[in-house]
Amino acid sequence: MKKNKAWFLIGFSLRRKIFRKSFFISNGIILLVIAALANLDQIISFFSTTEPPSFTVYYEDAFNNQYQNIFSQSVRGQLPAGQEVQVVTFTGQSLTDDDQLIIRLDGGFVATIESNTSIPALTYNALVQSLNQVKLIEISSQYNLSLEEVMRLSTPVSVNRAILVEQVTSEEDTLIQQGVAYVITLPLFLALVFVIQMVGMEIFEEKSTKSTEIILSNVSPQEHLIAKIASTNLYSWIQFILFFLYGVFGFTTRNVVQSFVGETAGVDVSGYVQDILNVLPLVLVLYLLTNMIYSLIMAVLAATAYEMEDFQKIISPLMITMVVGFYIGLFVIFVPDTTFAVIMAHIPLFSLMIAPALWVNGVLRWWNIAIIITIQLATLFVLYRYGAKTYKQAILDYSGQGVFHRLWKIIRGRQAA
Amino acid sequence: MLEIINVSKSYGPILAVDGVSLRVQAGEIYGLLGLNGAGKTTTFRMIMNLFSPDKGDILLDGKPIGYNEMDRIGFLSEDRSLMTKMTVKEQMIFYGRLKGMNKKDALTAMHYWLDRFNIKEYETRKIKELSKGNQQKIQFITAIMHQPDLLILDEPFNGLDPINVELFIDVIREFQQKGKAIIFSSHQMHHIEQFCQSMSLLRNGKVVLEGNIEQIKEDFKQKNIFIRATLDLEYLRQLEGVVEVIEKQNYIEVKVADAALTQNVFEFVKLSQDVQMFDVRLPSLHEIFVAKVGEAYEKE
Repeated sequence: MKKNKAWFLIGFSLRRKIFRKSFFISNGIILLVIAALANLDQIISFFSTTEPPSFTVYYEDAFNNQYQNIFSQSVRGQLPAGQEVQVVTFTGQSLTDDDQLIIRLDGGFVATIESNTSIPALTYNALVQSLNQVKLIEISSQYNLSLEEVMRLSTPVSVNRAILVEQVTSEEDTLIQQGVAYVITLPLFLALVFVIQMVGMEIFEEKSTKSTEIILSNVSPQEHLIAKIASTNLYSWIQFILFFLYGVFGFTTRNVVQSFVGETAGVDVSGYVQDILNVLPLVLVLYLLTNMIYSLIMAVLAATAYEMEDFQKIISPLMITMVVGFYIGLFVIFVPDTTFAVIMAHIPLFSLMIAPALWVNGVLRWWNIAIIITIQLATLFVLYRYGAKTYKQAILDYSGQGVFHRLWKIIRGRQAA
Repeated sequence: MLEIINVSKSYGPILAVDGVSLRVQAGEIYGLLGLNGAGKTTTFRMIMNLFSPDKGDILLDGKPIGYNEMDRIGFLSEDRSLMTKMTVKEQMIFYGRLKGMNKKDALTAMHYWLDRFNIKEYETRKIKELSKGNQQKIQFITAIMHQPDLLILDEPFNGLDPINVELFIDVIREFQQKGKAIIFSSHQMHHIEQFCQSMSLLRNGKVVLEGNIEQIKEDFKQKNIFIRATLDLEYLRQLEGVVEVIEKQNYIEVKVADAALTQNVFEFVKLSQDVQMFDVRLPSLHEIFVAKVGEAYEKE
């Protein structure tokens, strides 16, 4: 019967979180946001009514304009599809419109580009590249060199870089790893704060309303503690699964949206996805353990307070610790291969926000992960062993001292009035 | 039904309950009296299995109290133990299920009691939206909805108007008639006198007075005499055994230190030519309480 009551507490608490209007509304909004984010490029394209701007170039070079056609072909070849350019010989025209440019190239290969307004980056790049083409052809002509010879002169040395140590990664890989670390660290921090706050508020609410007197006469404080942590963590896992399903839904909808909008150039995220999938099992294990650790600490702290001011006071050190962990997590993304980062990854309160980033960067080996998980399990065991006793005394303690004094008194083992 | 045998409980250096013993029978309403801090709440908390006694035993039908016995106990605490963000219905189901009821039975009981207490329209309202009196009704219903064999009522009439007090009294009497044991704590002595057959008076964690209330009153030496007659009050005050003479609107109240001394007063009064009333009454519980726990109670 008593065990049934503990299960009832878990189920009741979970149902109270899920079967609420606010849960359905917020999840509906999240679903729409994720679907929108997954299709952001399609949506922008769908609503985009402006065609790429066409423009006119008034061209003049110091070589009797003999390279005008070459310049014109080069520019057209480099512009995005749909963007048109008309190259006209400069005969002293003045710029009357924003889509007009004047380009003049002197004998020393110094070019002047005039326009009434700024030039889009892609267009500007195409113009400069085309002027370089003109320069190459003119030089080959002046020095009687073949175009191939000129190209060889101007081509930079090709470097084949070989990385012999397995853990060292290329610049491209590093960028992907930093991106993955960012993608993981922030949601983990937010999820952790969300869950921990929920555990604390539930316990605080029950204590401050003295409902605990009724509840704890029917279930033991240990069962109450476990029920609170279990229900909140179950809720967070359910929310995680829903987020995942929303993501699947979002990417599934791409096909539908594409049928309306047409294919658009996307970003290749295969490297990111692969790295995220690789680190996901570690993240899930660390999330579970870290959540338990923080939840236990939060539960004990929340059980000590029965006024909101006390609650806020007593949880602030824990929240600051979490924020510190988050900032260290961001910091080590850029300097993963340092002793500081590795040591921090082994501290159980920080592991979740640091270890995945280091694992993605190849700084941590499997045995580091084994040690981290062992430390977390040991911490959990010690916290439960002593935390449950403290919780048992704290949850029914309404004595009038300051909250830190009360906590200290309870930890020292003096049962309170 | 309930036996508390030589129970003690300390909080650090403070001895909150010191060797308390009491016995409550089925169908009995038992009063627990005492000043704030006398040990009543700690005693209730021990019965409710919230604290274990340092010494002594608490038995329900001969078995030590534990979680398995809790479904047979209903508890109305002095503070409102309600989760204010829940609706009335959620709260009822929650506490009902905690007391071993299934959801259907909890809902049936809820509908019956909400109707009985004239608050059925509040079923879907949040607790925090209700008045103090209605919150007290909800709390009372959560204590009785599972038909407990032992009902513990700590200041049950807090926040209630006289009409609702009568409603509560009817229900408590009904439970008594069904053979339930009830422990009752109140600062208002007339409630204890009205309800309880037996009582314990706690002072600094110790029982200083215990037993059948009528017997306690009989045993208490001081008696009150109500007289309507023309008397020389100064002479009356000089009589042996007269503790106090209070002149009221239509009568004189004389407190004598011992029942045996009422004869002295009677001999004096019968000399008067117009004696209309001479009534010897037992002392009130209030007087006994004040005499036992001292002036502190009067100042509270």
